[in-house]
Amino acid sequence: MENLLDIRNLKISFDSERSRTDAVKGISFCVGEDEAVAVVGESGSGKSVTAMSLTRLLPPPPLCRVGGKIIYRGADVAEMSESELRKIRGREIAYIFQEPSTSLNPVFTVGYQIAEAVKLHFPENKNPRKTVVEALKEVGIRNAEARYDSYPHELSGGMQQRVMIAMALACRPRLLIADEPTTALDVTIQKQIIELLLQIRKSRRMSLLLITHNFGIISELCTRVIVMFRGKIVEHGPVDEVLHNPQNPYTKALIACIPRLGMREKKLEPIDYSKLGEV
Amino acid sequence: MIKYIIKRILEAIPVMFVIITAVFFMVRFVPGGPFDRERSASAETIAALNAYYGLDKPLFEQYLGFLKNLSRGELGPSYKYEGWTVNEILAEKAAVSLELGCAALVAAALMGVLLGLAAAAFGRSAWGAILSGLSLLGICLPSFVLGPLLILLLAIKFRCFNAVGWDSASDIVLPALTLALFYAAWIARLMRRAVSDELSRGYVRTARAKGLPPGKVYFVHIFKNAVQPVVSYLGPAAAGLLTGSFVVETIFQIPGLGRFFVSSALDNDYTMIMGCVILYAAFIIFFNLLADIALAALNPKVAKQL
Ligand SMILES: Nc1ncnc2c1ncn2[C@@H]1O[C@H](COP(=O)(O)OP(=O)(O)OP(=O)(O)O)[C@@H](O)[C@H]1O
Ligand SMILES: [Mg+2]
Repeated sequence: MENLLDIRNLKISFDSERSRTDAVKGISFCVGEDEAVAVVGESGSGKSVTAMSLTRLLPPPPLCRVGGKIIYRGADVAEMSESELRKIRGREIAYIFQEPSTSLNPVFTVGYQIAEAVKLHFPENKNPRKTVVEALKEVGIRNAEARYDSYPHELSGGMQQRVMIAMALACRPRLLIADEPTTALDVTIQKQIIELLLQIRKSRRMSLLLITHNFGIISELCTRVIVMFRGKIVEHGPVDEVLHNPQNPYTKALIACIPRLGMREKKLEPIDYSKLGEV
Repeated sequence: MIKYIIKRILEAIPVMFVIITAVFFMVRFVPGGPFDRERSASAETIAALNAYYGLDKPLFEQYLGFLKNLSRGELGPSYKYEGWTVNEILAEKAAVSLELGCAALVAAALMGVLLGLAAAAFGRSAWGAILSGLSLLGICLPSFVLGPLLILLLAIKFRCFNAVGWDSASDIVLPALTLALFYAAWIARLMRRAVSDELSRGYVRTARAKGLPPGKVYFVHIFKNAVQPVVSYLGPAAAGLLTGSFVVETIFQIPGLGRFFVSSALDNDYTMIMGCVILYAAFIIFFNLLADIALAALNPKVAKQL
């Protein structure tokens, strides 16, 4: 099976006048067709910048430099022209982000914002409104016809995230990158969004790259997991294996942080970095 | 929306009343009277004139009389321009000032927004710095320097326009530019700030991530957000442009209201002062209302509060 996405020795660094941050220090992994991969790691470990680099959404050099190779369906992303990239963004690789409230433009209706993507990638579509309403229905928004004309601030956080998912799905991408899609939401809403993603994974052929710092939500959704720590991959394998038999001390510490039912009396231990050593 | 407009107009009535009352009494406490400057006039003539215009009556009675006339839309005779009522003078001169002010406002908004967008697009490059410098210059340069400079350059050297006067249609260009430049520069800075603030917003990332070309991201998504502070500023800017036209009208010898306003204050031409104040206040209230309505059209959150 040919890989949809192949990342080889990816390096990302940010340069400012005074300092240089190596956000990603040479990571390699791949995402297959119709495969769901999780990227887990704490804040600042380089998950988001990795996701953004896949369609070259990071600031241009010299502010940010990306090294290594990103191969999407056999083509090197670094060598694509801007217009080729724009045909991939949204159409082939779609994103949903952590903060649904700031990810939507406050002064346009949600319908307009989704239709914009549809019109851009399917100019031959005679009835983009219908496509948008269908997408809104698919993500479980009731009264989708009326919601088309709502502004983002008229929706709850969970609804806003559903709109983001509808926007991503409306163009039928091959790969959905979900960057902490539930972090900003209430626990009950988190579950609903995870369930929605599960249901979408069942109903259509689409790969998923799920970024999170929460081990708890990945086992239902993903088959493979990549654990990142300070810009490097420290563990990589099938979700069950990593969850039940973690090799790396950092992974063990992360897994120990998953709150489970019946564990309430045991206090959650903060990660003690001094014991981890250089990873 | 219509309810909101009616509400704002009703709110404006007490404001106008306070302004009218305050100004009416304030100008009366200024030493001197409308006829002091008539050098030839003896004390008896002045007394006769005062009696003729009812200026010898108790102040409060005059005030009530003024309000009574005002309620019929009459502002009374000018004390300085014999044979003219204030209504007649305003009708003739205000149109000129309004035309000049509106032209300047449109010019300031267009130039400011475009320059601000360009400055934000150039960012920290050399062009960005040049545009910033220019807008700073525009803010610092007073109109009594800028006006003559434009005359020197565009009227005398290149002969594109008449130096002064208000006869042909193109005569509006130089004074409107002179009047507009400060506001254009200020709007450019507002716009530049707003655009660079918006650039880091999450929705910009979303717009790019769905494949929109930079032009659409910039001129559709960012623009509609970034232009909002500019629109709110247009209300006060309109007020400033209308009331601040005195210097420009003097430089370019334009028969507008600005000169009448200033001279009426110097001459103690009470009715004329009142007329100008009422008209300016009405303009300012109107333009602020217009700016608020435009803002509501741009921002659904503001619209909801209306
Ligand atoms: N635009 C930027 N300029 C400079 N440094 C950046 C920029 N974006 C990210 N970084 C740096 O890159 C590193 C990785 O950031 P990243 O956002 O990928 O972390 P993350 O794993 O997604 O964390 P989180 O869980 O908080 O989202 C951080 O140290 C951050 O400071
Ligand atoms: Mg992140």
